[in-house]
Amino acid sequence: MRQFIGAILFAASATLGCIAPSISVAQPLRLEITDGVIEPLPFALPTFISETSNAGEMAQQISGLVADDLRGTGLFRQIQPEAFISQISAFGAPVQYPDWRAINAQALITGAVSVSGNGRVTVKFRLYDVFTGSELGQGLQFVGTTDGWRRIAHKVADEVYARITGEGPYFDSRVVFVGETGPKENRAKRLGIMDFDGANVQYLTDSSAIVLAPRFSPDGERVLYTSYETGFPRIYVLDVGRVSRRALDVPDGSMSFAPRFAPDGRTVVFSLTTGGNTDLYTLDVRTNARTRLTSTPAIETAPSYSPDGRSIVFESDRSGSPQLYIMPATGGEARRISTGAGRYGTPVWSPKGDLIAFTKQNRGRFHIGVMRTDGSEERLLTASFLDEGPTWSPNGRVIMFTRETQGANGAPALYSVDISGRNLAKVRTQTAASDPSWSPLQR
Amino acid sequence: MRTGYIISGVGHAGLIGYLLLGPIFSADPPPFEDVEVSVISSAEFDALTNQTPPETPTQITAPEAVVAPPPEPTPEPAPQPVPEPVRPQTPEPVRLTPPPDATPDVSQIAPLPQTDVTDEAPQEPTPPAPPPEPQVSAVIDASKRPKARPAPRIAPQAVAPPPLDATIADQTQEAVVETNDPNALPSTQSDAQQATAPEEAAPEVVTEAEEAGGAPTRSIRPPARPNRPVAPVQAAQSEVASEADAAAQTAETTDAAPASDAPVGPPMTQGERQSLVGQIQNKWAVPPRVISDQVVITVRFAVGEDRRPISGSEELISGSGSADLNQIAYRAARSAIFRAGAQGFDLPDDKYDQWKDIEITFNPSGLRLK
Repeated sequence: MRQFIGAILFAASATLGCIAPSISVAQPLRLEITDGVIEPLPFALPTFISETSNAGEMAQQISGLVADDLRGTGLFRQIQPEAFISQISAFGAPVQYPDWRAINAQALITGAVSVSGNGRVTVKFRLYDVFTGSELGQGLQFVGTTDGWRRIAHKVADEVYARITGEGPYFDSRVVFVGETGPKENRAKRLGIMDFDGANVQYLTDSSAIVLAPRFSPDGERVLYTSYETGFPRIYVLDVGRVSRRALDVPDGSMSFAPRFAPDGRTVVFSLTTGGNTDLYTLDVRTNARTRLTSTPAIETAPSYSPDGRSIVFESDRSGSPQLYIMPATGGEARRISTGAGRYGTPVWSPKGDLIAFTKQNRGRFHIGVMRTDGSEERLLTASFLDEGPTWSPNGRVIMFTRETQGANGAPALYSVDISGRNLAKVRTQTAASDPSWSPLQR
Repeated sequence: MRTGYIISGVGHAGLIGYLLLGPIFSADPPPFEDVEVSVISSAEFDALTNQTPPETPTQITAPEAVVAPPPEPTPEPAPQPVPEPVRPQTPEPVRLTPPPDATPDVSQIAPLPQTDVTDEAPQEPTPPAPPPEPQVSAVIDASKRPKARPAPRIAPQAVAPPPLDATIADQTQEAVVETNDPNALPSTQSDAQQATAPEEAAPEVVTEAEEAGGAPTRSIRPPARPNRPVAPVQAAQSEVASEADAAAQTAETTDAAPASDAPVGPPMTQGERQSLVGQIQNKWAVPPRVISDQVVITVRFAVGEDRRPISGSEELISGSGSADLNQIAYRAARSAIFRAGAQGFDLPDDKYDQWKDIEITFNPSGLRLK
């Protein structure tokens, strides 16, 4: 019995001994921060090392374009080279972190460029987290043609952007648009395709007919657009690689317009006007099977699929003025999501699926805005004489749209703005441009 | 006759009473209204009375209708269902060329080899000196202790005053205390024994008049504190020390240890806490993805006596996002901490024990896209 009591006492004391240290853990000062700042992240990007004698100019160009891409987001601030304390003498040289910390660089991008005799260019880069004194991700190497150096630079910038922000990138992407030339009352319009920053413009159609509203396919290899070459609006599918096209199969005498691909790339949703009534239809591009989605006396147009392909947001004046509605992708009851004053149009579902961008006209001003898919949290990002036709960047962070200036000499141009309404910027184009459609990220 | 006097008396008394008390029950006089009066002459009066009233009411001129400016020509947003096709006069030929396939090949580069050039290693932070503990003396100066006065208790034999810590009892017994000797058998609280002694007594009564002084010579002792757990570090120290010193050291550390490891000293005020939050918040550049996904993380770090965050002490305690997102949020939070504390946080030096260890939850709820 005494042994039993002793065992209990020993166990009790042992338990107390275990509890004691846990009690003795010091309590830290606990705080919560719920607000911060949105400021550009300072980065240093020394000119990439030229590893071959003929790569000096290209190293300069690539370094400059990478920096341009990052700066253009509004999320990064480049530290001028004059402020550098130490230089990068070789791609593999160790990094003197204190020197970069001293100039408050938070990210350091180093790289090297070499050009071989057969016109191949090799670009290597590394990204460093200056504060922790460690490399952020692994170094990457890109090999391509010298003609494609811009794509290589965009890919480097994409990697840096994604690693630092955690968002998907968007620099290595293209935009299809309508290039416009000539006087306002007699504009020549043709389809063009360019890099997201306005470089490398190529035209896909001539200007013999009015073209409107080009839209990329989910894989970026085809473009839907509307042409008036027969005198009536008709939808065409254009293969970007081969520059070949075919008309969508619609009834003779009807007008078809405002097409957009479904996420599966097989189905096209569009507006079809027959007998004076405009409704939404889908068409399977392989079987040409057509399905009617709406049947109201109102004008229903500008449809856009949700990323999961289950719903369609569109514009309808069934309530008396153009408003936004969402319905199942197979048709059925639609619910109105726009509730504010004014007229809403050209809705586009974001790649993430959480927002819908739209054009709004209210009190004589046009706006580009975004709202939640239930119509809540509407935010107007721009305001001008005429802003319209938003399109999302592949990562859903930036919206490109058309802005037209007022007056006899007014002309359309492409602008971009991020979804917080910051960083409004004009996209450099050779001519006046309208109706942008952003491609997915290139592979 | 007498009836007449009574009637007359009552009547007079009533009259006098009314005269005295009547104003009390009367209503307040109506307020005076001042009216300005002007004196006019008879000629002016005649002119006024001869004036013929207007036959028709004065017509109020209606404001001119505001001519609305011509509405601004609002361009019709594209697409129009049936716009008039406008053909350009001179179509220009375009050479259609498919875009070149310039997709670059991508390959990974091996990580950099370790080099002997090293970055300046952060200096090992010197552990902060423990705050000065109040020294507790176990020895009471006997010279300052007042002499025991003769006890009022009468007993056949005089009994000396009991020790200060002793409990009054019939029997005398010595106190048995727990030791920190690791070799000693485990003891429990029930094994401890309190010192007891019989109450002080004297064989004769000594009155106050016979006392030297009237001041109280003894007060009630406060109750003893419960035994404290011995800190592991202190226990380890006692093992290293010699046996003779060990006992003394153990006794000292046991006495010096605080009641718990909660920070000692005055607590941080709300203003001081808010100030620290503001210093770090102003440097917290939140990545957009952390805002859009509302990633909440908790970071803990140590601060040196120089009020700077100690490099290498920071750690990610928890995060609400994916592993990658938590790391991105952690990088931003860590950067904010070290940038804010690069020159030392603005913190009260005398409360070092309160802020030497900090845990911050970074919650971007205030940064939702507006």
